Amino acid sequence: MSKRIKIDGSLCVGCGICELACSFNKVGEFGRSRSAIRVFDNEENDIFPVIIGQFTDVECTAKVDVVIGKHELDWCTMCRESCPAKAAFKELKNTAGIYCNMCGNPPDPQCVQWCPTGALMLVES
Amino acid sequence: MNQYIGKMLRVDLSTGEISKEALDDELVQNYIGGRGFNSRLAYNEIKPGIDPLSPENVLLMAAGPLGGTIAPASNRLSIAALSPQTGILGYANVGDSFAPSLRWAGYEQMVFTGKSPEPVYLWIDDDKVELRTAKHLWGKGVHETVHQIRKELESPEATLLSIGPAGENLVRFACVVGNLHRAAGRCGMGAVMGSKNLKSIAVRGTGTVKVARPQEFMKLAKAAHHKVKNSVLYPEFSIKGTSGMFVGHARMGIASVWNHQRVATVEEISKVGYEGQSQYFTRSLACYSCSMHCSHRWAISDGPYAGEKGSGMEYGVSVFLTSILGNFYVPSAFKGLNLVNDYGMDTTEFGCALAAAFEWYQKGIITKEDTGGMALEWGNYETILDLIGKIARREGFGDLLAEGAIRAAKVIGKGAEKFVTDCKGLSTHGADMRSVKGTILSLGICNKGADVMDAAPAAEFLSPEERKHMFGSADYGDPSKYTGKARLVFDKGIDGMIGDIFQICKFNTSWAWPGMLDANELVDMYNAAVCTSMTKEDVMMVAERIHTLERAFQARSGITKKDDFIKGPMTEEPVADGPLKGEHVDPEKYREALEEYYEVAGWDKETGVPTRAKLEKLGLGFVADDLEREGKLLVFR
Repeated sequence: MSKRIKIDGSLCVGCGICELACSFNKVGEFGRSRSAIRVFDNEENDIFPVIIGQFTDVECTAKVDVVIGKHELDWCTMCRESCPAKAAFKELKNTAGIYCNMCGNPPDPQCVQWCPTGALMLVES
Repeated sequence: MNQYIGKMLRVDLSTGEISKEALDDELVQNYIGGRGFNSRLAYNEIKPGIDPLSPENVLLMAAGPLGGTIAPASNRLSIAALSPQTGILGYANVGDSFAPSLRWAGYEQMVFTGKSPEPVYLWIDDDKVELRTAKHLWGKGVHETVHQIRKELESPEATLLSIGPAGENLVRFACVVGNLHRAAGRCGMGAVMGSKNLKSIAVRGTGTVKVARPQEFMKLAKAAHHKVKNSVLYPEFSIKGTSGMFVGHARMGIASVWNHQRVATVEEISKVGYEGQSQYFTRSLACYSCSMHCSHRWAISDGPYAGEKGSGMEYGVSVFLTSILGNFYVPSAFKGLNLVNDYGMDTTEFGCALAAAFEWYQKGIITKEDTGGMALEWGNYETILDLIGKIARREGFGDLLAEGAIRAAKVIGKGAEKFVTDCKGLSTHGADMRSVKGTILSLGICNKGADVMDAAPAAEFLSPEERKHMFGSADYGDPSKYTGKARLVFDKGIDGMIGDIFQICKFNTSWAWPGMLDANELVDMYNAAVCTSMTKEDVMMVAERIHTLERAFQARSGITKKDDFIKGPMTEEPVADGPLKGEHVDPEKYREALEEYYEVAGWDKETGVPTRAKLEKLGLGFVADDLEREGKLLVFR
């Protein structure tokens, strides 16, 4: 059975500890831009971590509005800065993208280990 | 130069010149970071006695050396300048994510000098730093400013420090707002930004913070988070936040109503404390890298303010919008919170100014003629909310209150001053601290004025059983006693300062509660992060150095022993009712405790000015020379 990370946005407090744990695991340094998980917060009532999967060089052409609860979100606004098409989200030295590879063997992702509230959980997929 | 410490960004707003400098080793070694860097630079660059609202004032902002790392709650940013409210050194700090972003961008400290010829904001996009026009943002609230700037920078994640109309209009207690809902509240730092035509600072840091010994650091940080999460404080505080203290104050008999004229009952405070607020909380919220998550998102679903939503509602906000003004309708406090955040003003000073004004009205010192027709009646929340905008816009009676309680009282005369509780021009805590003797002392000796966040001993707010359990004796921290308080307050001040130099939120450190992160854990993380080998004693010495340096700065501005006495009803009258009825501050015993404090701190017993011996011991011989030259130091001591 393979594992996956389950996200419960309702438990997320937006502390960003997962971002730092991930960036440390990836590059040995701390910074949101080197993390494969990014906590988005629309400063209303929606806070949710998004895990970055593998991506291609293709530019995003999607423009999708997402409804969470009663709130309609412009998805582009929410993910613009983590968009793989943006230089800001690439590993600057070799331009290779940072993405989640389920760190640990067997999988034991750092983000799940460090999450203080249980918003991130490792489950059987 | 220490490669793990970021650069200093110096912005001359008069010329628009921006430069980046390395922070020198001497500064790093002796002042560590955050409030330490600011106070040291303030001593060099701010001349005592200048007009705080003139271009000569220098605005300093500094992150801590652990900012941007995974160290618990290492997210705070200290702001300092000569305070427009008190005329002496003022400081405040703010959480959220500004300091981490600043450090990811590569900077430790920002220094703003001069005055921009027109409104500007600073955009820090990693290496690229530029001033941009803010003419189109002048007059706008914080909310609109933040959204507009993020939109024009095409950076929805940019993190900002902004002022609202209160800062622009030089309201003496205007604050600096972090993003939308966080604030560096006290001492009018927002008015200093306003006086410099600096509307906002936006930062996007896409770099990283490196630490010297990564694996060791990670292990220590994990243990530190673990300690916080397993502390006695965590189960309640992570759910209730600071608002949870409110009802505790009512149980003790120190929750003030009507400008300290009476104390509230537990039933009353249950309406406006956490118990009343929680029905509107929609989720818990944390500042960056903090597992304590003491804050909240909220939405109002009923009554005249239905539809209002936002974040926060800390103790220091709720008390000043509710009980002290006799208001027990909690949705109005949420509405008020959004207004003060949007206009950008300190709730403490706002609440104290209103409390005084309402009592002046009650006692007939002012009438409708003075207030522009407003009836300042206790509990009338519509009037309270109305005054937020009036003060920020300096409209009518609001213009007078925008000067702060004590200045307004001086203008009014007729004995109005005796209804203002303040120290050094800064109004005090919302709870009735006259029954809590160590805390009263801590308000008296706090360098910025009557603020509770420097040195108030948490032990005094525990029950006798809890004190016996935690400290081995119920006498330790007994709120009614003066004995032993000088030492307790001094040590607590050092604890608080250690939080402020590492810029770790004090609610994660032993300042807040026994068993939280102490100097040992913080210094270990610091050593692993920046490649030093400091000891706990070294760090305590740094903390004492900064505390004493700040005091010397204030002494150069004329602050002496006489200014360490809190004035107003809280210290001059006894408690009128409740379980602590009759409790009062005994001036003689207070003076003795104060002198004992001076002795512990190494300050002169007669003047309250640090002695040469103490200054030299702390490596501040140059300060002793300055004080001596200016006749502030008693020679031969």
